Amino acid sequence: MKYMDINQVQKKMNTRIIKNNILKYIFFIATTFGLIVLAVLLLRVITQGIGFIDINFLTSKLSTDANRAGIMGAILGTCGLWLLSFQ
Amino acid sequence: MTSNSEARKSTVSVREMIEKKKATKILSKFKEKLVPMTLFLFAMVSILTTFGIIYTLFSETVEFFKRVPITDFFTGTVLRPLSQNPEFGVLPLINGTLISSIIAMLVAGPIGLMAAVYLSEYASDRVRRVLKPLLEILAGIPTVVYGFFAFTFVTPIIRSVWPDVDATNILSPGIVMGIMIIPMVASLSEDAMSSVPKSMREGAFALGATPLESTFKVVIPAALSGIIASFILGISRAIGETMIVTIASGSSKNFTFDVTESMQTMTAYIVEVAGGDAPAGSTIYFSLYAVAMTLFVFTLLMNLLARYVSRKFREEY
Amino acid sequence: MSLTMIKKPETSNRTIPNTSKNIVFDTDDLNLWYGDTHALKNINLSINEKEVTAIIGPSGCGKSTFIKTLNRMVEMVPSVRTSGDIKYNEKSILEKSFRVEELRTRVGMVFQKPNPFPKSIYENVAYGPKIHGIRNKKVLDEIVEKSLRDAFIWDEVKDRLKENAYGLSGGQQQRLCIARTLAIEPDVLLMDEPTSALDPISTLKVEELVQKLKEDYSIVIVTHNMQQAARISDQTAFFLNGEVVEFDETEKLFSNPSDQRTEDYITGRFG
Ligand SMILES: Nc1ncnc2c1ncn2[C@@H]1O[C@H](COP(=O)(O)OP(=O)(O)OP(=O)(O)O)[C@@H](O)[C@H]1O
Ligand SMILES: [Mg+2]
Repeated sequence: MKYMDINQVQKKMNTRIIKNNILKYIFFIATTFGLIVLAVLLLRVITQGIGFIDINFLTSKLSTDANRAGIMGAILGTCGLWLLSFQ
Repeated sequence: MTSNSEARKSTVSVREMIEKKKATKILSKFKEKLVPMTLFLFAMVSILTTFGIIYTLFSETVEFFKRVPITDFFTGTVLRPLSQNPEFGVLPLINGTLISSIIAMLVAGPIGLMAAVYLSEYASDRVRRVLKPLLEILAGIPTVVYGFFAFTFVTPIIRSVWPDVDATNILSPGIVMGIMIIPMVASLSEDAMSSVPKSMREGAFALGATPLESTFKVVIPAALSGIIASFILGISRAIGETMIVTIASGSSKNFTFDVTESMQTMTAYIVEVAGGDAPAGSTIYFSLYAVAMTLFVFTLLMNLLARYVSRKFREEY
Repeated sequence: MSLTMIKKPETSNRTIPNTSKNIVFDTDDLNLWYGDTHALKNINLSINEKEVTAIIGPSGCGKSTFIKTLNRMVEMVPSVRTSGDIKYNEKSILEKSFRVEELRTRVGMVFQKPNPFPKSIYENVAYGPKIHGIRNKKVLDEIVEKSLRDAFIWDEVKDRLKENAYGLSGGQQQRLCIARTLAIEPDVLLMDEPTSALDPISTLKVEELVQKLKEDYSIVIVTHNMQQAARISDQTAFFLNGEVVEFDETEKLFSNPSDQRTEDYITGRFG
């Protein structure tokens, strides 16, 4: 006795394969979602931050005067912590 | 006769060799003991540190509960540490922590799992080798950057489609936290799924299954323990996250379930109090330890849960 | 080894093949490459319906590759390229427009190493019918029982259908995998050394099973065991280095091979 009806199986197969193909794209979009956010984030950081970075900014110390302020102290501090955690 | 004496001679020389060897052995034995000893000491350093942390947490928490009744702390819905008659209910913080973690997992869970499915079941080797490390960069971005991203980019977008949302709210940092956790869930789930033997998939394909059916009815059930563990680790990460919420959710200690409002999480409270000038010995100073202790218990429970789950759901094949 | 020992007992009354039997698979100059490895070279074979076709040959000669091509399982290896044609019931299956899912529901496969799913015995057998759309619990129960009976394993597992399949012995697992394949009611059964991991008793059971299944299915079986090929098959193909050296009725091939290399191989004088 046959339990599996060939026509039934054939009909079902169409929807199964379509479902697979659609979800494949959704999975791909989910994977790229993270990458899109990454791209937006980097783009924003770079476009909005690049104008303020020059050699003075990198090498001068903190200051209350925004024009003279720099991040040398912060860089040194980060490096120090970094070295410490490597021991 | 001759053979006998020869035999004796040889036994003597063997004995001598053994004696000689013993002399050198003492030194090498010492060396062999020294290495594990040093390693043990190194291990002890981290264990002792942990115990030190727990001890401090515990003793200061006890001190706090001498001043504020433990029931008030765990059932209070009002947190007003700086007011004239301060109240120390931890529920707003627990609420904020849970809500932000839930939002984060609503983002990271489905997206991370879908990415894992794509990477492990659909992508070719070449595509996977490019996409996976790229995705993992997301996990390496400093959380401060995410915090500003949430505050200056995600919040305005949300507000433009949903004007009810406050400038500082829990929704936006929750979402961004989720984005941060995606690679963790994706990568750990993908590992769990790729370690399911290829023969399982072949079995499914040989019965006429589509990749989708082999994934959801064979591979995911077989990898379930690893996938759940990745989710729980993701939740722990969300619970422990500090900067994003501090920056994007402000510091109102609302006890509410409305995600458009500002809330504070346990970690953000600790940052606020520790960063402010709470005089050592004041109640507010001790409250910091009580909250930290609560947080510690939370993450500990999560980790235990992850271990339990990954044992319990291990499918044998 | 005496050749009379491995002679099949009652095939003398059979007529010449290919004229009376329908052909289910027909390969036409089939070539296959794994990257630069030329694994199958100009294969021309026709496989008869409701017969057992045995594939023999030394290790690495392309036996597994050949039967995995018949249900396009080779495509799971990304570097695979093919040329030539395979006709299944007169239709070319190597064309991309022929859906593999459809092919594989008609052409079932049992693997060399038993590979049940890490699920209950019941779920293992019900998996195939379920994905093909059978939801009715009663029908599923019936299919599971029938398939397990057909695979001669029902009596051993009927009281433990809810237990994990990995609690079964290797031989039982292999018969469970056969039951799992029977559950989707294919036309053709491909078996890649199904008894290589089994003890003599389980082997015998699987062999009996193959003899029985022949009534309803066309079977292609890869084996390293020449007595087995002689015992259970109607046709035998001898593969060597990716080529078919000889393809003939089993009795003829084993008693009176026409190629020297075949004779060397079956008498154990090979390389
Ligand atoms: N995935 C693969 N990638 C590259 N080459 C392969 C792959 N699978 C098989 N081959 C090569 O194709 C040839 C045939 O392999 P196949 O597995 O078909 O042999 P076989 O006859 O089944 O051997 P055995 O009796 O050992 O199972 C071998 O030279 C093998 O090295
Ligand atoms: Mg093989």
